Amino acid sequence: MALALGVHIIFASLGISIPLIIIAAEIIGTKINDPHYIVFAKRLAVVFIILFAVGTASGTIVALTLALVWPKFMALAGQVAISTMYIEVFVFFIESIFLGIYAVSWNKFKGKYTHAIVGIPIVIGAAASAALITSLNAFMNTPVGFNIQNYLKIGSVTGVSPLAVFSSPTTFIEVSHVITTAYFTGTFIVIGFLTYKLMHEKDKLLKMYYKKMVRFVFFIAVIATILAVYTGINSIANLYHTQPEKYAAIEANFYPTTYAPEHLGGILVNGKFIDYINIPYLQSILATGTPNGSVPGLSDYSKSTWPPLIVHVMFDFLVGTGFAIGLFILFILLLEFLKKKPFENKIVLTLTVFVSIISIFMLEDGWVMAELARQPWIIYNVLLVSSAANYSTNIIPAGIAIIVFYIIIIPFTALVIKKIFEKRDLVKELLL
Amino acid sequence: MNFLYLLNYFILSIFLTLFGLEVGIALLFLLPFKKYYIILQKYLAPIWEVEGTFAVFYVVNLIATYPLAVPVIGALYVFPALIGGLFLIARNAFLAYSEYADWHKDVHLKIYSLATIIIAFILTAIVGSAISGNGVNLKIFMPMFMTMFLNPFNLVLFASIALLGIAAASIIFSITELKYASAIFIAIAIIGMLYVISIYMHYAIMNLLSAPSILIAMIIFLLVVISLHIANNKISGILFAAWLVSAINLFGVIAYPYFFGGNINITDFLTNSASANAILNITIIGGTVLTLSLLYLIYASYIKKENK
Repeated sequence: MALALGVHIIFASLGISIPLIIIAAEIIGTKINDPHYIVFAKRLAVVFIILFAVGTASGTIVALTLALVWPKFMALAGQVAISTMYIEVFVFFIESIFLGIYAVSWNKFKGKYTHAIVGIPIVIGAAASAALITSLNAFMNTPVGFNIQNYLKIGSVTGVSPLAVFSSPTTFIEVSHVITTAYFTGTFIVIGFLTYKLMHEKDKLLKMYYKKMVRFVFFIAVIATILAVYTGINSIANLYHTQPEKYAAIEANFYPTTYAPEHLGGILVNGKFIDYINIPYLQSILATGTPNGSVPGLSDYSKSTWPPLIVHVMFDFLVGTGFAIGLFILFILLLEFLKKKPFENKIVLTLTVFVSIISIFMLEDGWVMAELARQPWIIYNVLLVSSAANYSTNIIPAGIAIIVFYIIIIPFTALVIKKIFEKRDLVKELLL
Repeated sequence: MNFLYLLNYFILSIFLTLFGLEVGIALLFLLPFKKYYIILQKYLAPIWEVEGTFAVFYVVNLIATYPLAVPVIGALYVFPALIGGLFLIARNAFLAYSEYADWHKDVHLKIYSLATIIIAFILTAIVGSAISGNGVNLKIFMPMFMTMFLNPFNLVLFASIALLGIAAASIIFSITELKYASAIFIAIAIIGMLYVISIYMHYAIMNLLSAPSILIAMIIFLLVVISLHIANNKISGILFAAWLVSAINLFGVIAYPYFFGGNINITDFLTNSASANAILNITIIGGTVLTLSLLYLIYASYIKKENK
C-alpha cells in the first residue's frame, strides 16, 4: 500500500503540474508569437498523455488496494465520505475527455487562444482530482459527517451528512498544501529534466530553447514554492488545534510548554531526543502568534496512542531542505535581477538538478510524515489501523504482485517516452 | 427495485460489454486472422481506455452503493483480485510494447492476448462466485479457490463469454470468415449460460419465465441483430453491443435482490439514505456534464475540420 501510494503521488504531482505548464506555455507562446513555447507545450503534452495513462493504472491499483487491504476503513468511509471519490471519478472522466480534445485539436480552432482555453479544464480537473482525494485524507485526520459518539458506542453509522467531508476543519488547509506542493515538486521535476538537457546540449539553438524553458518553468516554480511554504506553515499551525498529538510528536514536545522553543534536529535515544538545537520562543510564535503561547505535549496523551517519534526527524528534513531551497531560489532571483544569467553557470545548473531530485524526496517525506504522525489511527480517534486491516494471508502474494507492477511500470514508462522523442527531431520542430 | 442497484448493474454492464469485446479481440489475435490485426489494434486502444475508466467507476460505485459489503469482498476476493492485477500489468505492458516497440510485435500481441484471457478467467470466477455462491464458505466467509475457479458454472460462463466476445468482435469488425459461425457461437453461449443459471440460480430462471414478454422481446432483438449482421448491415455491431448491455441488465433484474446463489440479500449491504441521495445527485449532475463533454469531444475530434 505504502509503495503504491509512494509511487502514485509522484505521478499525481506531475499530473497536476504539467497541464499548468503546458497551458501557460501555449498562452505565452501565442501571445508573444514565440514557436519555442508552442513546441515545448506540444512535446510536454505527449509526455503528459503517457503519464496520464500510467497514472490511471497506478491510481486504479491504489483504489483497489484501499478497498481490499483496509476493508473496514472503506466500509466506514464508504458510508460517510465516499462522495469525494465518487465526484473524483466524474472529474477524472471530464479531464480525460478534454485531454482527448486538446490532443487532437491543435489546428482546429480559429480563435488565437481557443485551443489553450480547451486545455483549461485539464488544469482545473487535475487540481480538482487532487482536492477531492485529499478531502478523503482530511476526513481521516478530522472525521466529520456522522455521529462519532454513537459509532464508538454501538459501531453503527448514524446521522450521516455526506457532503460534510468537504468542510472538515482540515480540508481547506490540507487541500491547499497538497496542491501547492504538487506544483512545487512537479515543476522542479520538469526543471530538473530541462536543466540536465541544457547542461549536455551542444547545439546553439537547442541550448537557447532549453534555457528559455528552464527560466519559464522556474518562474512558475517560484510562485509554487512561496505558496507551498505559506500553506505548510498553516498546516502545522492547524495541527495545533485539530490533532495536538500529531503536532506534539512532529515538534518533539514531550510536555506541554509555554514560551516554547523550536527544536531542530536531535538524536532519538531510548524514546527521547537529545542534542537538538533550540530556537527560543519560535514554536510558540509560529503556532499561536505570541511568544508566551502554550503548545501541547505528548504527556497529555496515553503512550499507546503516541505516533512514532521519527516524524520529528522527518519534519526537520522537510523544514531544512525547504529552507535551503528557498535560499537557493532567492540567490537565483538575485542573479537574475543583477542580469548575471544564472542558468549559464554550471554550478547553478548542477544545483538545480540536485534540487529537482531533493523535491521528490521532500514530497515523499511530507506524505510519509503526515501519515505516520496519525498512527495508530487510520481515522483519528475513531478507527485504529489494526482494526481496519485485512489479515488474510492471501494478501502477501498479492502485495508482491503490486511491487512487481511498479518495478516494471516505471522503467518501461521512461523507455517509452525516450523512444518516442528519439524519433522526433527537436531542431526540425523548432524551425518549422 | 432499488435504483442504486440498477445503476450499479448498469455501470457493470457497460464494463462487461467492453471487456467481453476485448476478450474477443484478444482471442482473434491468437487465431489465424492476421489480415484483421491492423483494424483490431486500431480500435483496441479507445476500447481499452473507456473500459479502464468504467472499471474504476464500477469499483468506486460498488463501494459507494454497498459500503458494508467491502469487508466481505475483501475477505473473499483479495487474492484473485490482486493476482488479476498482476496480469493487468502484463496486459497493459505488452499492449504498449506491441504499439511502440518495433521488434517482436506479434509475440507481444500474443502475450497481451494470453494475459487478457487469464484476466477474463479470474474475473469470471470472481463475478460467477459472487452471483452463484460457488467457491465460498458463507458461514465463515472463507474462499475455496479450487472450487471458485474450477466449477461447472464458472467454466461454462467463461466459455460462453469467450464465444460471445468472438461473436461481438466479428460482428463489429465485419470478419467475414466468422459471419455464420458468430451466430452459432451466440446460440451456444446463450444456451450454456441459461443451463448453468437454471442449475445454480434456479430462482432467477423462474423470475425470467414469469415475464415472458421481456424474454420474447430479447429473443426478437437478438434475431434482428443477427439478421442485420448476415445482411452485412454495419449497424448490427452497435445493436449487438446494445443487446449485450440489455441482457446483462436483464440478468441483474431477474437475480435481484440476491447474490451468492440466493443466499445473501444485497439490500442488507446498501448505504444509508443520505449517502444514497448524494450518489444519485452526483450521478445526475456528473452524468449531464459528462454527456455534454462527450458530445463536444465527438464534435472537436470527428466533425470539426482542421484549419488550413
